[in-house]
Amino acid sequence: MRSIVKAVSLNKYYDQYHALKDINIEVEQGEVLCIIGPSGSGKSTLLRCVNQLEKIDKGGLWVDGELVGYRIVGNKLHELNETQIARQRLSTGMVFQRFNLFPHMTVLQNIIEGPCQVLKRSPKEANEEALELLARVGLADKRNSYPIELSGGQQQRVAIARALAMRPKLMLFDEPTSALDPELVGEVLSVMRDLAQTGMTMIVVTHELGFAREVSNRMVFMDDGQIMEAGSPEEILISPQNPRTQSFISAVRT
Amino acid sequence: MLNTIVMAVLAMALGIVFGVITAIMRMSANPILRYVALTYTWLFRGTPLILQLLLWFNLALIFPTIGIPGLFEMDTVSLMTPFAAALLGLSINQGAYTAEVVRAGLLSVDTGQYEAAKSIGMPRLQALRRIILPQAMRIIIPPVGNEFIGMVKMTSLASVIQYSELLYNAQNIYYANARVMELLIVAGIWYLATVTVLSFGQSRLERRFARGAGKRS
Repeated sequence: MRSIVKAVSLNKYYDQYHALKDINIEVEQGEVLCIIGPSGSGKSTLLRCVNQLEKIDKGGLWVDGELVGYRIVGNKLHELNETQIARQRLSTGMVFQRFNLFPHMTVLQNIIEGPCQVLKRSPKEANEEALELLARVGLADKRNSYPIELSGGQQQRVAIARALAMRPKLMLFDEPTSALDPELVGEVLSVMRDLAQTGMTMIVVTHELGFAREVSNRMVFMDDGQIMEAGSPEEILISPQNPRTQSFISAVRT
Repeated sequence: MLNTIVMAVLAMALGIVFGVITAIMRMSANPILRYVALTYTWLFRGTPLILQLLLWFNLALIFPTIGIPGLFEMDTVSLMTPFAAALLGLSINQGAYTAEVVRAGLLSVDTGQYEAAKSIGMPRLQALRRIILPQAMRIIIPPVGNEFIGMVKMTSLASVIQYSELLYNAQNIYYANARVMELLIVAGIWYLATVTVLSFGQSRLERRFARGAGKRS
């Protein structure tokens, strides 16, 4: 299998604070990886490093075979400029905890913005594809609504459609259900479940252990900026070896 | 009268262009751009407008000719007409103030919007143009409307460099017929009328940019 994401002893600092400590991880094509862990453990930071919303300070990160943020010329590393970083970001789609839909655009405009403005596709083609995506997330009838008129769950489903419209090879989810009312979590998870079944490579930071168990191929438990334990959902959720994983799982379960 | 409106509209339009460019430079990652923007704001906010107008108008005293050496050159006196000097002075001064208004607007947009724009592959300038500025407009318009109204009245300062605007004409007439109070009041009424019309335009613009913003306006 081809690896889509590969991190080698990746480190990230915020001034003195060591946010990510020697992270090594590989995600293969078609794999669904769930990252769990207490808040402040670095799981969102790791996700944001993958699409360069955060810059890494040490170590290497490859996404879809390309070194992230740098270019090797001879035996030197050159930082990529903004346009090149923007181009690298095209291989990943991202879904945020707080949706971040563009409030001044309708649902349909939100979805075709990237395809039309960045990928320069024809509006007609982009529209057709957007409508298909909206149907897939069950919101075809909301195409002309503004985000503020939608519930949190609906907004998040539009955000997923917006990310998919860019035809990414990898989807990143940063606690996609944490800002939702409990009764709206299900609709978003079900869209993500369908997406996983299409073979999309996904990295999901989540607190939904049930979802993680059902959908993910592999799970990672992070704490204190490190990967404490990695393994199959059963290994992590049912028979964790690391004491910190054990106490986290039991705390979440109760 | 017409000259006043033409000058106010042109100077404000140019001022907004300067302001937007300066605000974006101020927030750039490039330190050179940031300092250029800072210096511009510092210089033109820190000196009186009337002084700037006089400086532009009298530019010929230090630079008798201007142009690009070898390409073209012309006499500064014939270029720096009262109109050109007033337009330059007013718009450059306005740009320095508008820059801060625009910057406040840009800062008011949630960082999640920048991140979402980046996540669909937009470079910074495209994200600013398509995503951030349209949302910032809602915040920017009321204070810019304020400044526009200020601009209509500031054009009266251009009377000191013989730009034929409303006040300058009123003065010319009362020098001839000695009806000082009458003409000043007439001028005042014209200013009021212009500002009233502008305020209507502003509320229409505000409604347009309130799309998707709910009932908060």
